[in-house]
Amino acid sequence: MPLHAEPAAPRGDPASGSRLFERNCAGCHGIEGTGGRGPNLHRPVLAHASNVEEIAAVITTGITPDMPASPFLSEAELTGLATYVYSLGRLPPVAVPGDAAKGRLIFEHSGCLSCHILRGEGNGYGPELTNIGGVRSADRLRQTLLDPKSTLPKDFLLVEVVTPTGQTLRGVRRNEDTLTLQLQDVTGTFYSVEKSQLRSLSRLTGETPMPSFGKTLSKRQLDDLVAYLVQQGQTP
Amino acid sequence: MIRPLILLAMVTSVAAYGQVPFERIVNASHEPRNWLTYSGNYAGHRYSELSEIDRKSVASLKVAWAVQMPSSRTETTPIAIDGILYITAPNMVSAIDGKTGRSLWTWTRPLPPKFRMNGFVAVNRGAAVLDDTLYVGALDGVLIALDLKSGSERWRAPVADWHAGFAITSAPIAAAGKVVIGVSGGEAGVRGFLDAYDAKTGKRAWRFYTVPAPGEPGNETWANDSWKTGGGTTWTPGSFDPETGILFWGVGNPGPDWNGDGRKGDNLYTCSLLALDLASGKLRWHFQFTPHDTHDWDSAHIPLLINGRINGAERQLVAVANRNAFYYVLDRSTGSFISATAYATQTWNDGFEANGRPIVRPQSEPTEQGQLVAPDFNGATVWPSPSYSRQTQLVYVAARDSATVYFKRDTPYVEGTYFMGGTYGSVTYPEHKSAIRALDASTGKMAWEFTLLTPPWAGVLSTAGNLVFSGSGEGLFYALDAQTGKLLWNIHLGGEITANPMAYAIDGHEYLVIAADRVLYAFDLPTTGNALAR
Repeated sequence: MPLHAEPAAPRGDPASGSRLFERNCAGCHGIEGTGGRGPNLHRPVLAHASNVEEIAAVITTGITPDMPASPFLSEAELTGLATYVYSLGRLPPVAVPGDAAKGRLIFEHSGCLSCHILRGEGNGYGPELTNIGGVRSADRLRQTLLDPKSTLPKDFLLVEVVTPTGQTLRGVRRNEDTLTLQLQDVTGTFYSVEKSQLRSLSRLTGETPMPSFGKTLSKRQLDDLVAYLVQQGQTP
Repeated sequence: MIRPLILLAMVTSVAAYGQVPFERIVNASHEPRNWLTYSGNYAGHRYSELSEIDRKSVASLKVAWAVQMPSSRTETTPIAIDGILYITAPNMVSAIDGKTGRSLWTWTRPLPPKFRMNGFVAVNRGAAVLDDTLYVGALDGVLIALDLKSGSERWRAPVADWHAGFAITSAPIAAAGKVVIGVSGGEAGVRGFLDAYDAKTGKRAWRFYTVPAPGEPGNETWANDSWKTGGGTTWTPGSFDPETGILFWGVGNPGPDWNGDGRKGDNLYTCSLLALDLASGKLRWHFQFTPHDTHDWDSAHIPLLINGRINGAERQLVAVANRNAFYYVLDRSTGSFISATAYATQTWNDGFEANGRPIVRPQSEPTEQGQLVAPDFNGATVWPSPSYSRQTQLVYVAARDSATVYFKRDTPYVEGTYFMGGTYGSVTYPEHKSAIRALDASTGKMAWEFTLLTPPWAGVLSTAGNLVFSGSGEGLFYALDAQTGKLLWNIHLGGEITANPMAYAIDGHEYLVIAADRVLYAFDLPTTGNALAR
């Protein structure tokens, strides 16, 4: 299943779009559109198109020289396919229970801004939340708040290293190559280490610095917080 | 002292057949300052006899020059002739000064406005030289002969129709008065072939269809009309044995890639190695590595022509590190199977029959629901070249350990569009599992490995300095001890390395070349004084 499985507000027929995607696009973009030979399409802003019409135009003419043209699609097929591709990168507004105004207060008083930036406020250790409502469904946001380990992004990795001088560093892997690793600790400080020189390197797969809010927030408070978050990045 | 470029100095010594006669390429190992074919010699070795840069001096390696290329993902291997490098990009060739990287001439060919690739990236991997002419393929399916000294076109030969999904990304092989060029397009349901052209005139000498038509041997391995869209492209250069005049060339996947239902049979000569008579184009023998492939495991690799000891006897061999995760050793004169040894993770094979036919493990075919199989569709190695060191008698392979979920789908054939018959789920690879692996050339037994964070897309060069050079997906260019695999030197080049290293020398001073993304870098050792004054 795609990471964000809810279909976009249908303009074409997204079911037929999905089938056409498998047949014509998945060879390069993967069956889920998450990339392979071609780029990942699960992103809020695509490099070559920003709406269904522009996506349809790109599908029709291709991209010089690497993406082939598909002039053989009917208009209905093209619209369905473009609608499906558009849906991969974003989510439509949906009604959720909860009071977003109260959710904002909960957000501001629960320590979220100590790790996240939302519309310019906060600290940038965790992912920015300014557009989070456009890319994460209410259900998934709720799941993240209750069990953050269950929704980690594919390339997210917490690491702990012990340096040659015995210093222990714990943080998020920001980059890695065959020989070196770059991490950022909770204070925002970056470190670059040579892997062969370390006393130890622990890959804390499945772990995250984010706490669960299942015990600190009531169900109603969670609803309010999710209602606030899901608004972020939605076109008014 | 400032000297004129060596190219000018050579004018007076050009033989009747031009600057680089066939005999000079046959004896390429006698002049390691030059790099006269895509693989450095006809045998596919990608090995340099240069040794100024060795296990000790490599620590001082530095950037000599850099050249900005016109597009990203540079995959070219330069040809080096008497101080001049000939570098390629899609529909572009430049002659550059080997000391400075400065351009001497550039040839370009515009792409048709509606030209599109079908399932692979727009690249060019290199040129070929013979006498006084350079040969290069264009993406839009044309083979071009250029004057070595000016870049002016001598002739153009139409090879394949890009509207049908063909392209040319491969370097040609030029030998004995002929230029051999393979084609890309295996994801578009083309019918693959290999062509040879007269080097002087551009007239086609022969064409070998890799998918036989009705009435031709091998057509019985294709159900119904499936041969018409059977794939079998020839998109990586082969090797050539000047003693026998035999050309060895790998053939790509059948079409559609992941759905074999409509093409029941072995699908000859896809996923095979061909031995062809260069003079006539006649097939001497073939060996099919992956009959009825459904995983996109092209056999488009460099065949290594080596001599080795098999059961105590000296034999002439051809070895292939195959995309299907096995290292094959075959008899060079007959194609008979000697051995196959896994060099990367695989979950599809339960052994081999005496003739080399694989025993396929159940549940390794793509399905509607998806089937996890290793290796992934890019295979255990791809087009990046292996290297054979005459010094260590080891073969060095950029080995990819990966797996993916293969899905089968129905795909109608539409000319000039994807014809893949399925798709894949997310690709998985364990970090620090893929590696540069050093294999005994005759047996495939692993001598050492140098693990990499991610599966590599760079080829390997070995040198008489007892070194192995390669690059990583994260942009590291590095040198290993050819005997032990120990890391001796590295530099971060800031772009994915999807190219093969090569070496050349000017005035006895060795250079190494590698491309990273859209920059071509040369490295050398520090010397006193300015390079131009040497």
